[in-house]
Amino acid sequence: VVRVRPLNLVAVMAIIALAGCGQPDPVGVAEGVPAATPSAPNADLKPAAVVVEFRQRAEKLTLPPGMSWPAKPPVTETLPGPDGNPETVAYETGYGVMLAEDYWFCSWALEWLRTRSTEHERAQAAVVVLRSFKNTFDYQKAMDKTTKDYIDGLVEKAGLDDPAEIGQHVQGVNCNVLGPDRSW
Amino acid sequence: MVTGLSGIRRKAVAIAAAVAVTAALLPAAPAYASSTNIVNAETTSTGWKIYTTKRTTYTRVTFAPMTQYGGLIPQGEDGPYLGLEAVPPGGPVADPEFFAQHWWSEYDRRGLVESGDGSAYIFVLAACCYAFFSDRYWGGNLTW
Repeated sequence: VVRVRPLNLVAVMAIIALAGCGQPDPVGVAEGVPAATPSAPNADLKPAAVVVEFRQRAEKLTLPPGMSWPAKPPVTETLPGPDGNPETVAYETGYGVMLAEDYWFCSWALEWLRTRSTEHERAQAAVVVLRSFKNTFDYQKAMDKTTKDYIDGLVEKAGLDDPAEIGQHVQGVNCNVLGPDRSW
Repeated sequence: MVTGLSGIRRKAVAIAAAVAVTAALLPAAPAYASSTNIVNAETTSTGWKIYTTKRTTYTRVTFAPMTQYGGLIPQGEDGPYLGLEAVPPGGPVADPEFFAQHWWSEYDRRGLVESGDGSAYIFVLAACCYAFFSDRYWGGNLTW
């Protein structure tokens, strides 16, 4: 009879759990909150630093076939002040991460819209990627509950092959990070 | 022998139960950066600051001035405001009325900033221009 000590049992359970984490994910699935998650939430970033955040996060995210990251992400450098004259803009740490994840989510939403009627497997793969948005900094740290509920509803509708709301999301200002070419 | 294995099972169950109870008791993570301190002394302009926290529909904003400054604007008679604007994360849209803007006077303590549509538009908060004259200073806590 082999005696199994409780400590060994816990170790075996941990190994099994870790092995489960090692399963390959579908292409494009978000790896999760990046190691560079902001540690100083109220710090100011200049626009150039936001671009650096954006590019660092983009390196870890896969876009759908045919999509590419913008040469320069839409990071505003000035906004009108109370007298109408331009005032400089600073950003909270994490803004570039959030913006890259927005671009990634909108790209996969557009991929789903473009393929849902013609390429079932590609569309299904896009839904899997959209579901992994929950692993992102954007979803976990930047969004309040109402916004999370809104995003959850979009992804659920995509899973049910209902394009109305996700189409509105992609065409509207929520995805203006993608630029003007958002047709499907 | 059977007794030994049962003991292991009991311990495994106890560990699993403890993990479950711990997970259930952990508080939900708070929204990121929904409150920030603004401390600004004798500067001509701070410009806009755009925050990362995302909202939909509307957000109520309150400002608690620091006691030592006595209010939103401790000196002067007119001019400085705290400007708040809801902007889409991907950048401002061409229509300035699409997202609301609110300029606080020295007597304001709270405001409401909301998106143009009311339900399906995501925005972040931008704050601007607190104390934009050189002889003014103030500080406090902005919460939304």
